[in-house]
Amino acid sequence: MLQEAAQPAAEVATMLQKIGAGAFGAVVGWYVYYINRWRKDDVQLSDIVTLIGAVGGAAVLALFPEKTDLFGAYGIGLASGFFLYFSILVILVNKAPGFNSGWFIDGRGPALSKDQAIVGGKGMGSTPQVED
Amino acid sequence: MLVTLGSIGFGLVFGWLLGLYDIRPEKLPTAITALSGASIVGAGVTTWLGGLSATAPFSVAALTALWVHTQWRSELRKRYPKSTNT
Repeated sequence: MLQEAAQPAAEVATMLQKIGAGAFGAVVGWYVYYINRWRKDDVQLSDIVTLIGAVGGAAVLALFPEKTDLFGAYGIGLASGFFLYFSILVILVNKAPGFNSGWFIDGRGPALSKDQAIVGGKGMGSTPQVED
Repeated sequence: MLVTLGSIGFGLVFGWLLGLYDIRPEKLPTAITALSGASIVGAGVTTWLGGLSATAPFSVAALTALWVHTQWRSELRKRYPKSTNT
């Protein structure tokens, strides 16, 4: 009994904290896929290290106490955000006229017509081709 | 339970990201060292935050996602070969 009293009580995360950790994970997961989707070239080793640093880096270690449910909520949110972005992207790429899943390999898409131009970023290492 | 599910989610994202990297034969030792290092760090973070019991679900999920992603990309490459007119 005395021994039990001497041990520090295990940290228990509240529901609000778990929801917060899950939402934080979802934003990180969504943004990690966003960064990957807008990269300008083939994947380099440094890109992988950067992305992995974002999902499991110092911020995560500092935010969540060890062995609490917060890490669990973060992991669930991370996967939800990441794969939700990916699922929406798969649907949009397959529905967009002139695009197919080959876009995921090198960003290929239909050639631009003469009155079109790239005004924003380009995704998945693509090199736009202008139709002559 | 939540920690196990979280470590599975963490592992899925981790494995999927590792699958993005195309290993070239001329850079094999560097790639293996870096990817192994990244995996050890991932497993370490999982163990630190989720406990030792979370490492197994993390590893299985990471390997599964890595395999699925690699297979998917290889299938896409076969189906959509690189254009030669660029």
